[in-house]
Formats: sequence, C-alpha cells, structure tokens
Amino acid sequence: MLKLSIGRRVFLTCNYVFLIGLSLLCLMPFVNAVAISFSESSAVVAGKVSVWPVDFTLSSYKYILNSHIFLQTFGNTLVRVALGTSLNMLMTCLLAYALSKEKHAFRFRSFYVWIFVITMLFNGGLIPWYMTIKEVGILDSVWALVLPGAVPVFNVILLLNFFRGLPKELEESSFIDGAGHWTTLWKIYLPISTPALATIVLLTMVGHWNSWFDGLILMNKVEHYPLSSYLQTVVIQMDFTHLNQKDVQLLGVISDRTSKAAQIVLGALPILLVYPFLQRYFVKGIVLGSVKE
Amino acid sequence: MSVAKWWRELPLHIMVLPGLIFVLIFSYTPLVGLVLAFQKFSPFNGWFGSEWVGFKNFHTAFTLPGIGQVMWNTVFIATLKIIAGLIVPIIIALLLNEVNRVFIKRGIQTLIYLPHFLSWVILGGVLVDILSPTEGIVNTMLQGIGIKPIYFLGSNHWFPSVLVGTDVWKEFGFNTIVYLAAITGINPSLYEASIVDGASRWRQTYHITLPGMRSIIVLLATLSLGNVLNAGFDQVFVLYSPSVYQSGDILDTMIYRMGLENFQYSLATAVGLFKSVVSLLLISISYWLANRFANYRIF
Amino acid sequence: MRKEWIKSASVLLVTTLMLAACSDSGNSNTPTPEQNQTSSAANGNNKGEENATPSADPMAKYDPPVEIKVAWPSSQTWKYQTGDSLDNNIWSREYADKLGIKIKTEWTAEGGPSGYDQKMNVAIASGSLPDMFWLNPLQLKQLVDAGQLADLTEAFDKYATPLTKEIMNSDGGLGLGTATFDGKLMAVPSLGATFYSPRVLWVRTDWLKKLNLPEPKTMQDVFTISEAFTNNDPDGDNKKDTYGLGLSKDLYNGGIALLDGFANGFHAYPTIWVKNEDGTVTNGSTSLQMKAALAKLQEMYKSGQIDPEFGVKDGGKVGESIAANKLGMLFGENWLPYYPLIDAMKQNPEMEWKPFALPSIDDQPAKGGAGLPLGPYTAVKKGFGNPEAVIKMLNTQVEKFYQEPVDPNSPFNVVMQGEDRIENYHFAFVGTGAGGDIVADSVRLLQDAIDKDDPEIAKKMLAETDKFEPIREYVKSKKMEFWPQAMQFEAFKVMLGYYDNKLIETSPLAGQTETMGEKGAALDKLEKETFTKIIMGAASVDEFDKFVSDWNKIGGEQITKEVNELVNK
Repeated sequence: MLKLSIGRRVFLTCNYVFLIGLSLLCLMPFVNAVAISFSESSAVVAGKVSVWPVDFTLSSYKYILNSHIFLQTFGNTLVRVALGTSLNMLMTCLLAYALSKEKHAFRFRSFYVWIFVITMLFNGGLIPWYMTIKEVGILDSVWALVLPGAVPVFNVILLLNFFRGLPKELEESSFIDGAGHWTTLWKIYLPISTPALATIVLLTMVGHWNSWFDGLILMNKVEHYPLSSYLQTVVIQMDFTHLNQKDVQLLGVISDRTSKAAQIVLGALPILLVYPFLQRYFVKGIVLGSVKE
Repeated sequence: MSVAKWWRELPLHIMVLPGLIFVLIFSYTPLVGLVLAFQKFSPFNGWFGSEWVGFKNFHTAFTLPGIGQVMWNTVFIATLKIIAGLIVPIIIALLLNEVNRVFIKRGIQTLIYLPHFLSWVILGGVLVDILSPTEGIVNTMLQGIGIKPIYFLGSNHWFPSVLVGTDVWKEFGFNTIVYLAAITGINPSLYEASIVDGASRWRQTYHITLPGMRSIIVLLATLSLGNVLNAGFDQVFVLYSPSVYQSGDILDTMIYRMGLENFQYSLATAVGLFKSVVSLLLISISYWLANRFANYRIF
Repeated sequence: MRKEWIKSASVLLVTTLMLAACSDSGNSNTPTPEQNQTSSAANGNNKGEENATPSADPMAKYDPPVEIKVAWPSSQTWKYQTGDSLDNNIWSREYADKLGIKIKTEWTAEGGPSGYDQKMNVAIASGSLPDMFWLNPLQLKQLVDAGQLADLTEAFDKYATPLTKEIMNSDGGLGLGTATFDGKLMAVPSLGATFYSPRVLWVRTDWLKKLNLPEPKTMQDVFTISEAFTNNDPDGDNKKDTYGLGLSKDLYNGGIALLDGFANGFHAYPTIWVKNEDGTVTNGSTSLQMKAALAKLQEMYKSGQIDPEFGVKDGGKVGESIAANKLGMLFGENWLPYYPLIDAMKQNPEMEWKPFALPSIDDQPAKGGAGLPLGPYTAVKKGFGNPEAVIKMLNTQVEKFYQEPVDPNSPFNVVMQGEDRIENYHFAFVGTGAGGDIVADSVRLLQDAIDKDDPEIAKKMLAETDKFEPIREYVKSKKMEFWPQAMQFEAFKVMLGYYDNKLIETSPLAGQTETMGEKGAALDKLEKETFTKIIMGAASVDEFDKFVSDWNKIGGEQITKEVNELVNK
C-alpha cells in the first residue's frame, strides 16, 4: 500500500469536494424541473417552486400520459431507437475499421474520409432534404427516421481514432494467424474497444431518443410521431402573438411551464436509467498482456 | 498495383460501400439544393426554374444593416465557446480520473451529463432568476464578498460571458465522457512502469494521460473549428433581448428574424453555404498543416 | 479466406436488398407529385364534366360524392366523441350526408409557427400541396404570386348564401379584402374582429382602495397611481419593493405589460400604419407623439417606477412579479385574466383587478391601436375540379352558427361527454369567425342578458356564445373558476366603448410589401433596441430623432412609399 503524501491527500479531498459540488450544480436545475412538473401551475407561474413541488399534483403527467397517443408514440420511439442504434453502430464499426487503415493498406482511404467529412459540413437545406426523403418513398414511416442518419460521421471519426490508437501488432498477429479483415474486426478490434463502443452507443441512443424535429416534419400523422416529437406538440403553443381568442380558454387549464417540465423529465428519464447500466462497459479494455511494446 | 493488393483491399471497400450509398443518397442528393444560394427562390418554379442571380444573395446578406457587428459577435462568442468547451472537459476528465470510488465516479459522470437534457427554453427562465441583479443567487453571493450587483443578462459587457459560461456548463458532460473513454483506453502497464520509475501522479498525468488523449483532443479541436460560425441559436434566442442585441445578436438569430417564415430561402441558403465553406476551409487547413508538418493525419 | 468472401458477399447482398426495398416502396407507396397532380386533375376533370352545369342551388349534394384531400392544423388537446376522429366526426358526416363531400386529411400538424406553419412552408416549397388547405397570410401571398391557387370569385358569387355573404362582410369587408388580389378572391378568410385588438389598462383595485386613489381616467391619473404604487408600500410589507407600471422586454408582443397601450394614451400608435389627415400613411413608431411617450417612460424608469430588469423579463416573468405582489398596473390584452392574473389570484386571494379604458394625456379621447387580424385562410389548389365545394362547406358553418335562432347547445359547437368537453367546432374544415359588428352586437346582448339575468336574451348572441353561463354563475356565486370569464367580460365592456365610439385606430395595411420582407426585421430590431435604451436612460430622448432618420435610411422610407402605393391604389 502506497502511503499517501499530505499533498496528495489534500488534493484528493479538494478534488472530491469540487467534483461533487459541480455535480450538484448540474443536478439542481433538473431537480427544479422535476419539482415544477409535479407542482400546481399557479404556484409555478407565481415563481414559488424551487427544489420541492408546491401543491403537489400529477395533472401535468396525467395530461400527457392520458392519451393513447402517448403509448403509441412511445412504442414508435422504442422501435426507432432500436433500429437506428443498431444500424448506426453497424455502419460506424464497418467504416471506422476500414478508414482507420493506413494509406498503404488501403488507398482511397483519404478520399473516402473526406467524402464523409464533407457531409458533416455542408447542408443543402431543409426543403431538399425533405424532398429527397420523399422521393425515396419512406416518408411517414419509421425508416424516414432511421435511414437518413444511418451514417453518424462524427462517431465514425471518433471510433476511427480509437482504432488507430490500438497497437499495430494486434492486426499483424491476426493476419499471421490467417484471419481476414472481417474476423479481425469482429473478433479482435471490437472486444478491445468496449469503452469506446459503449460511449458511442450511449451518444447514439441519446441522439435518437431526443430527436424530435425530423419526426415533426417527416411524419404525416401524430400517431406516427416518435415520443419526443409528440412531447413537443403537447406543450400548448404559448406563442402569444398567434393566440386565438378561442385558445385563450385553454390558458386557464394548464400552464406552459409545468407541461414543459414534465416533458423534460419524461425525455431524460429513460436515458438516465440506461446510462448507469452502460457504465459497466467503461471498464479498461482487455489487458494486452501478451503484446510487447 | 498487384492483383493481390486489390484482393486484400476489397473487403475494406465493401465495408465502406453501404455507408457510402447512404451518404450519397441522403446527404449528397440534397446538396443540389445549394444552387438556391445563387437564385431568387419562388416556390413551384422549383430548383431549376427560379431566376439565376449569381452572387446577389451573398451581397444582400453582407450588406444587411448591422451585419458587421453581428459577424463579430458570432465569431467572438463561437471562438470563446470552442476554447472553453475544449479545456474544461479535459480538466474535468483528468480530475474525475483521480476519483477511485467507482460508485462516486459513476454518479458524478451521470450527473454532469444531466444539463445536456435540459432545453434552453426551460433554462432561460431559470437563468433570469439566478442572474437577477436584485434577487438572484449569484449576485447575492457576490454582494457577500463585497462586489456590487451585476446585471448579467442586461449588460453588453457581460452577456457574451454568460453565453459562454452557461453553454459550457450545459455541454461539458458530453466531451468529458469522450475523454474519459480515451483515458480508459490507455495501457495500464505504462502507469505501472512509471511508478516503478518513481513518477508522481502529476508527472504521470503529464507524460502518460495527456499524450494518451492527444489524438482525441486534436480531433475534437479540429472538428470544433467547423463551428466557428455557430454561436448557438437556441441559447441566444432564449436569453437575448433588445438591451443586449449589440453584443448578443448572432448570424443565426438575425437570419431567423429575417424569417424562414418569410420564405427568404435564398438568403438563408446563401448564408448557410458561406458558413459551410468557412468551416471546410478551417478544417482543411488544420488537416493539411498537421499532415505536412507532423506527418499526422487527424482523421 | 473463403469465410471472408461469404461475409463480403452477405454485406453486398444485404445492401442490395435494402436498396431494392427502398425503390420498391418508392414506386408503389408514395405517388410522385406529378402522379398526384394528373390524377386529381383527372378526377377533377371528370367531376367537372359530370357537374358541367352545376345546379344553381348552393347547397346541392354532389352525386357521386367528391373526395377532397386536405391539410389543416389539429391539436392533441382536442377530444373526440367516442369513435370519432379528425376525418370522422359530426362535421365530416354533415358534409358527406348533406353535400356529398368526403374530407380526407392527407396530413396535419399542431397549429402554430413551429408545427403546421412550418410543415406547410415545406409542402409549398417542395411543391406538394393537396386539394384544399389552410394558409397564413404570408403563405397566401406566396401562392397567389406563384399562381398556384384557384380563383374563387365566381364560386363565391354563385354559391354563397345571402346569410354567408352578410356574415363575410360583417367586418366592413376588411377580411375579404385581405384575400382579394387584383380584384379576385383567392381564398376564404376566417374573419377576425378588430374589436379584440385594442389594449386595456389593468389595475389592482384593492391597492387603489388601500392607498385612497381614484380610478384612472386620464394619463395624469396613471402617473399618480404609478408613483403611489411605487412609493407608498401598497403591499404593506414595509419594504420598497413594488413597481408602478409593468413593462415586458418584448414591448409589443405577448399581450402582457405592453408599451403600445401606454403610447396610445399619448396618441402614438407604434408599429401601426396610421392614415393621416392628408391621406398619406405613416408608421406610428416614428411619430413625435411616440417620442413624448418614451420621454415620460424614461422619467418613470429613473424614479424607480418601472422594474429595472424589465429588459430581460418576458410576459411570463412579469406574471411572476404580479403574483409576488410587486406589480399592480399594466397595459395588456383582454385575456389577461386567463393568464397570468388567475394564477396570481390563486396565490393571493385578496387581489382585485379591474380593466379600464385607455386614458388620454389631453382632452382628446385615446384610441386603441389595432393591426388587422388576419387569417387563417382556406385555399383551393389551382386546377381542382370543384372549387365551389369550399363555399358550400362555408355555408354549412355559417348556417349552423349564425342563423337565428342560434342554438347555444348545438352539438356542432360543444358537446359534453361525461366529464369531457368535446369541442366539435374544431372539426369544421371551413368556417369563419365573426366580424366586429357581430361581436359588438353580441357583447351588447351579453351585457343586457347579465343585467336582466335573462338567458333568452343571451340566446340571440352570435359570438362569444359560451360566456353567458359562466359569467352568470360568477355573478351569483363568485366561484373563482369563472373569474377569468367575468373579468374578460369587464374588458369587453370597455372595448365595446372603443368600438361604438370609433376609438380604434386600425392599420389599413394587410400583408407585406417587398421591402418589408427584406428590411422589416432590421427595422424592428433597431426600434426595439432604441426604445429600450431610451426608457432605461442609456440614451437620451433625442436619440429618437436619430432613430427616425436611421429608420428611414435603412429602408423605412422605401417601405412607407410602398405602403402608400398599396393603400391608396
């Protein structure tokens, strides 16, 4: 057991205090949002809610969860996240592996890389994107939410970088043993990269779960929306400049802030439940014991 | 080139193929729409029927009243965000790496990711309260140490700092996760060897951890260069007000007020194209520099 | 190595299959726009030939039935009767049974700029419109300019019933005017009433009583009240923590704590195009009266009567100030009781509010500024074979809601299903609101009915038909549930005064001019920035003169010219 110096001890204590304080700072607004979502709207409008709900009520949640649409869109999202994440991971692994090879092993690699990078930077605009998806014929289906984003270039580049960092000897010994690229990828590279993979899975899932804009534009009926798009619409359009005299009555029924808060809680909840579970995989990669530097 | 070489490379080409097809269909086809930047859009004349006006849209965009100030604001705020957004997660990742209790480490990791889920719309209201010069917590604390209250959201002097600070707070969790993953990928035998050599923790960090993260840091830094004209529409839109237009109005909020609702597609496309070209230039230059002088391919 | 080949081959295979699946569904499922157009044109032509000599009876039934593909906003908050849906409800059945019209919703989205409006913009720009659809004024102009809408002039002439024609003109023809281009009617407008537009002055009467202040009749009264609210501790907590006048950062938008109500007292009409005595039209924001109003506000801000943080507070935050007993007076719209006042009341039951007419700075009565209430519009795609169908559906709605005697419990309006309130009126694809005259008459009737406590009188109302019962209940039992309706009614009474005495300054301009589209946003920004600075004392009042010259230079002058041409043609 190494004896800890005083300096080290002080540092560690300060570190803990600082990090825990930082975490609380990050937690507080979320706690506030949860409190608001469980509070009575007039209390919220009066600005009385901070950490605890005031006049505890479930009405915001009831309002959102009550419609059968909620379950439907929830189901839509589950399908989307499953399909989307799988497809994305498949694409990411394949591309990252291939593109991580050096030029002498894979000419054209730079060419390919730039093709992908350009798509991250250039954007033809909302309308051409919509029209393309329409022409492909997948409008108003879950594929419209999954296929256009099939290649997450940012993730590809991240994983590419991780692969590059792995020792060359891995690949060499794998080839010597008679394995081709496919086997090398599946049996050697991937198992070692669990931290990177877990990170990317998490980022991808979060991305799919929270993505609401595409759902709004590409789906024709609310029943086809993913949950996040539905939650966007559930919040009453408090854009006062366009307020209809008739809609005015609705104002008395539910407050914008409580339903928005409930929306956030519902949006973040599943990911928060999954994340700790994924953290198991953030463990140091398999020790490369037998490979000499 | 020998046939054997092609044979060897073929699986790699095939691996790239599906992704390539997706990208060609869904990302390149819409790029056709960029011609709109050079046309005067009218619906139903479509993409090839609208009148060709060359660079006029760009000219209009760059002669809009106040464009100079807006461009400056955009670049200034975006650059600060890039720098802070790079440094803070690195530091936090390093600090977090020193935490040994797994449970606490995981807990902190989860918590710092939370702000990412809050939308600026909700944060806007919260921030107005917190930063209020009369009742806000921040100013109350400042007064406690003898500083006069600061009107954070209403002063052109402070507004950019507020934008940068709150944005870093909201998004640092994301990058921290990535850096942590990079750190866990570092070969532990390196640390063991250095301990044998008597290195202190600080030296270990400096000589092992940081270099181990270097490629990711360079990567993220380069990619974030692409954002130098994206100062953060959602955030600014929620937090700004006429009192801080001068320092807070950015390219995107100005274009927004021109109104996509006003069918100013040509103008918006032109500005978008400009932003993309600038991003491409910056990233290409970085890539070329690293390639040429350090023989290092960033991606 | 053979294993490698199998793997490569399988990837290739899967890729090919995916592509095949995509293109297949592309061919079979979604018709291309060209296909759509030819088929509906074919349909339309056929029907057109069958109905080549349409009967003169405006409400004749189509036989065989006509199917119309539509796009219109709908909301998740709407409730349906059991078994009903957007395409199957009391209205759709009425259309089918009585008129032979089948409505099929091709797509829908939540109303508002980020929902339906945005989707419609995308549909317009990508060239994929169904047969009939709702539009906002900007979209209407775009499509008219692009020649994509059917001319409805003849259809309206021939098929609109006399009642319909009467109702559609009940706002003096303003609504129809905004949908008419080059003398042709290009869409069916839903009328709004300028009746609702002007601001009122909301004051906490319990504070007035506490501080022994008179009710505000002139602007001078307003100044006195504002000063007293600020300095005389109306909330009784021995702290100087209250303000005199509420102001929000958005200045004109949002309906809460507005600048324009205050300015109206000075005879200034910011953002409104005002017709001058010599016939020209100028923008109220640049008038000298506006300068005077700003000067006074600067004074008030300096003496602490306005929240120093108003510049970052939107309507919602102002609401919080009200609920925290910090604010007792503000200019705003008639619906403030619904939000945020009722929430403030719930937290502070001792509050009392009352709306007052806009006070004036001199002996000329103050006028309320009002923009033209515009849209939504129901339009028909050019080439659709039965454009008159839209008029027929309009007739149906008008008949159900405006034909006397009006049934206040009509199932076409609202139906109670157990605890749920089913608002069937949402499902009328074409319909109109009431013009100002009708609203004014209805408010008069409402007043009469409440005074005499006579439901029979209320039955004659054509607008605001759901207000009698709640207000009556409140008068009897003072139930807080109905406080908003009762308070809004008080505001309506004030606004009736404006309407009857012609104290509404209405903008004669509908829609936008070309330069407005390009430079409007920049001008708006300049205005808001300058005005905010002046009020906060960061700029002297004379900055206003610089503002006017900048405003003209940046494009205001050009826009004024264009507006004058438009209005005086």
